[in-house]
Amino acid sequence: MTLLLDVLTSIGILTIVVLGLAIVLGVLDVINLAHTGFMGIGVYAAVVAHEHGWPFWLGVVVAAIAAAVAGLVVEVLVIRRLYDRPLETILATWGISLIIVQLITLAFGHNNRAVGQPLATATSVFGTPYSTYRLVLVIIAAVLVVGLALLIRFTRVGLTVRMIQANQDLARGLGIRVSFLRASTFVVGCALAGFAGALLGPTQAINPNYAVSLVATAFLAVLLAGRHLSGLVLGCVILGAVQVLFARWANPVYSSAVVVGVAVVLLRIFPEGLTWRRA
Amino acid sequence: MASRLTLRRGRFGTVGLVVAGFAVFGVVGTDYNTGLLTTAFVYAIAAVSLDLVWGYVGAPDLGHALWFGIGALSVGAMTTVTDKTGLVIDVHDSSWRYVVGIILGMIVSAALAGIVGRFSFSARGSAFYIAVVTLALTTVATTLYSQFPKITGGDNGLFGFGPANVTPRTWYYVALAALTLVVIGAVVLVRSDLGLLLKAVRDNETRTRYLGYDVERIKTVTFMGGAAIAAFAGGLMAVIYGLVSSDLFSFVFATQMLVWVAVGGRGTIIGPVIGAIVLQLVGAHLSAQFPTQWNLVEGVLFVLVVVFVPDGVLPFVTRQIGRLATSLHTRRGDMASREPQGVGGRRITPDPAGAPQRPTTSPVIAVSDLHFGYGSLQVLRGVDLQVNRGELLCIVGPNGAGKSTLVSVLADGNMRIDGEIRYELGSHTSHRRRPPHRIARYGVSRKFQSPQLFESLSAAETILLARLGGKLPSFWRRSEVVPVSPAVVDVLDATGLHGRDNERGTTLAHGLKQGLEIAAAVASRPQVLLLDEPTAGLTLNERAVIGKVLRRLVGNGMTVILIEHDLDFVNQIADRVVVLHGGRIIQDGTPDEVSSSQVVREAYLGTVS
Repeated sequence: MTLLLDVLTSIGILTIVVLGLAIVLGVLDVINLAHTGFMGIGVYAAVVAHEHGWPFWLGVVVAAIAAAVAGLVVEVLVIRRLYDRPLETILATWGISLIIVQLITLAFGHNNRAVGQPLATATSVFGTPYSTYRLVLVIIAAVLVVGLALLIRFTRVGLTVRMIQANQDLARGLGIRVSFLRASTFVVGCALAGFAGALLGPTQAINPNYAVSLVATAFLAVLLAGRHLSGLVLGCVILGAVQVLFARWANPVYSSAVVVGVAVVLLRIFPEGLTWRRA
Repeated sequence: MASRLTLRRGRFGTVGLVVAGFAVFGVVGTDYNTGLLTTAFVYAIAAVSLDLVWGYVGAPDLGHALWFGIGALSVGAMTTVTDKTGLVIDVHDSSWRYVVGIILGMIVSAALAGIVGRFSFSARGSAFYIAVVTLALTTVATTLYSQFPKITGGDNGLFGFGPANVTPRTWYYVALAALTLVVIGAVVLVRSDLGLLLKAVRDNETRTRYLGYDVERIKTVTFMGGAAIAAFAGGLMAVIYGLVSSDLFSFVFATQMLVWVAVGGRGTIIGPVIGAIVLQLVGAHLSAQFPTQWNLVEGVLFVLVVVFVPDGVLPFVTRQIGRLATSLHTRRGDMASREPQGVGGRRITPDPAGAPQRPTTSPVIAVSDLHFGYGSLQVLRGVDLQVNRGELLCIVGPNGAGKSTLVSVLADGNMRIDGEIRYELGSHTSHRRRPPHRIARYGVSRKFQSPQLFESLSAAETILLARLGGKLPSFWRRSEVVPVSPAVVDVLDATGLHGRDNERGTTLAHGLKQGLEIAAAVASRPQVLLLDEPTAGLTLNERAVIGKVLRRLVGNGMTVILIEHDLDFVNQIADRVVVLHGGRIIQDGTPDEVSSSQVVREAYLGTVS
């Protein structure tokens, strides 16, 4: 039972991390390698909030706002100039991630910090006691995914975004503010990164290289996702499950290597990602 | 030509001068500075290896430090004895172990890179993919490093080895010599005919594929080569300093390599060398005082370069100097120097030996009951078609009839079809579906609807690659002349490309681009030529000339399949016309039969459904 819950919560955590990444990739065709950097900004914002004695959940909100502001700055200064050179966005965001890590090191030093332990109780799930906080993460992940699905399917925002994806020149011709929407998308992606960063704060060691251990899995999951939300969930489920199960039955240290291997093989078989229907 | 040759000699002369300068510095420089330079030389080798992978075949390897690290580790593991916890307790002193260590590291790196490339380079996959995989491998490598202390020394790394009795100055010269060899080798390679192919892959993978080249294999092999050279640098580093740790595998180091290459100028070989040496020297001086700030500066520099001077500082500076020089010349009234600057310096010459093929009447391609659709959209719904050797077949039909799709399916065996396409191409008589480059090599050449040319290749270079038709070009020889068959000369003359051998394909006017595309397709000496609207955007006159050229090709035994909208043009040149409508062939006959057909008229006017 604990194993099942471990798998479930790992999938949930991965989903929360990957969501912002997937939005940015899906709409803007940008792989945001600075995603973990923005998670770092988020978690350190939460650290500051925590050290001022603010409640944890307020810290999470502050984290999302801080990452969003940083995202806006990055979009305006850098990303905006690179939309027609997608391969170079990879390099630029990689450089930005380096800058963010260095800035955090300068501001906070190398020592580990903390954001506090919210909901530090255990909940009994079918007789198995399990960390309440990790269970809440799964619920948050589910809410985010369902919310995003509804947003894409049923609102004007979803329609407009799909228009930009399909043909940005035409969209611009139809009076859609393409550059505004792109900036908003990037900012939302970063806000989600900050949000995810703060949420994972209680489960990870917080230092300037925050979330680096997640980086490989997250980027592979988003590539596995293809251009569809179902693929995203499926990708997270597969990689999350592989990671936990392998760690349990074989060796935790090798599990990250195995996850990379599984993802690479899957991507060889499905180069366009996992989606329910064939494009 | 003469000026070109002197230029080449001049360039190697400059390299010689710089090397001599560094050699002298080895005598007069301080220990501190020669020490720094020794490291910088080794790093520069790594930068060259990354430039080959990233700057030439366009694969951004974000984890290039991995290969460097493997090379270093191989030397360390070969020459030390560790206890169970990974602490070095003894060092072998036989010098052959260092040589074996370097070679072993190169082999392991190349092999691993081969596996990674095999899995990562795919025609359908995302271009981001290799970046993410290499990044992921870096995280895995640093994790695994601490898990095998017996081999790697674990968290302490391996240390204390290295050949005895070698002075730092000797290492300085060894590193300088190694760098010089690597740079000369790399420059020869990228200036050779194979270098052209690498640039072609970087500029336009699809087009390269349809010229008959196995793009994935070229990328994988280059990736392996880059990994091996990086491992060589890593091995050299380990031999010189007698030190290996997981830092050599890390993100930070890999990113530094990216910075050297990006700032120096990717795709130039010399640029990354300068980038590595300069940044290493500056970095060493600054990071002594501001360790964290220096990394920050590097990051900012990297982002600035990527955004504002994406091809790097060296090409930017050369361009500015060139512009300044031209403006000075113009002021002096020297108009001759204002000719458009050519690239490549290769010349097209006629090759009368291009023998015509024997005309026959057997089929070359037989299509039966062909169905194809994109998702739920069914485009081809049961096409039956026999194409005979030596005929000029025109495919006409309203927009959306499936003409281009039909041609694509003939040229790309990766598209999944129902039904059968049988090729009778002599060397390839089969209905097996093959990837595009194989079909191209069997003798089916394709011209795309819109011109697809190579950003950095001249007209002559494009034709050179087409002419090789998938055969691997020489990796050291540089063809100065491109012999072409009379048919190609015809196309070049007809479309006004004559004498424009050294102009970049992408800067030509639209009509000339079309001409170059046709010339390239013809130059590959195909049995079957697939042309998707070759005359779109051409004047009436140019069209007539192209028509004549095509007739002559057919007269020499080539089979031409042509998609065309202009029915008058079709009537003039076609042997046979096929009308495609709604994914089916509704008429098949001589031009006269087709143009008088009621069915066809209705198809174009929209009454047939």
